[in-house]
Amino acid sequence: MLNAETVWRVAQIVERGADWFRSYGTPAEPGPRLASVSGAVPSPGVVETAVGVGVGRLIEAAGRVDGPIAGVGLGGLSGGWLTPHEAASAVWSRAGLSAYGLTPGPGTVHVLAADDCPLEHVSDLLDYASGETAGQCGPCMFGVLAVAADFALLTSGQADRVAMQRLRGRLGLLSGPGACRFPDGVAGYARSALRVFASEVDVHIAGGCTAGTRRSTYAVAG
Amino acid sequence: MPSPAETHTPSTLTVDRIACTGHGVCASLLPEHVALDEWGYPVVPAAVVDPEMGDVAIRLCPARALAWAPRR
Repeated sequence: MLNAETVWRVAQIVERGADWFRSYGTPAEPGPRLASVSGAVPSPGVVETAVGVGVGRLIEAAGRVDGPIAGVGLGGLSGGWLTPHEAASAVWSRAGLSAYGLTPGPGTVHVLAADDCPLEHVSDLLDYASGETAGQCGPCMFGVLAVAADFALLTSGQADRVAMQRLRGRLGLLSGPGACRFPDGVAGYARSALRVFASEVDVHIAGGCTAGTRRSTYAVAG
Repeated sequence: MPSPAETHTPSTLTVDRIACTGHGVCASLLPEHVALDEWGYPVVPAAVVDPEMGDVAIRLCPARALAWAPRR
């Protein structure tokens, strides 16, 4: 199986040369890249970019974000989240994102509006992940479902501190022992959401939800 | 391939996660080395296991999922 963008890039390199290719990106991660920007942007879709661009600029390629946002998701289920503040200054590269435990990954960027409950969004994705387990090993077959169920409890305001401790313990069980890296990716995604949306977690444990009332302003890095 | 019991070289165990179906025999035989997670699947720390006990656990694993970790 071949990645369509890779095959396309190989043809471009043959046609235009390695120097053309290396004129995009960084020495460590050269070449033009396609990224998919979705969510609270005026023109969601695929944009042409390169590693080394600011996350803010990358988002701006899909139009200027109007209004407060809750966070920025990178790499989908195998990635994680940045706070609005982090997204405004972070560089879209392995080096620039490593501090957040993230990478440019498959090149997806999701801007979550402040009107949306971030935990509900994360919970929906974890539910989707539950259906994606190949059912080959225990940590994935049971662990991913258990984590998704814990997040559903949290989102609906039914999780207390004990349930959160159980969730964090389960996330630990998902890292490493799987037959492949799918459960690790899901655990990393969930952990990242708990970090970035920590205040929202506290509000939900207290039975509330601040979706729509959040005042995080988002400024694109100059 | 000679087992560590034959060569008397200390070694660690590894679990084939796809073969493992969570019988828990390894945890019963090696309670000091193998714990079970909440779903009954083994958590195997990188600790050296007694060669003879390890060989017994490997032989009795119903799923044939337990093995000596490759030497580094």
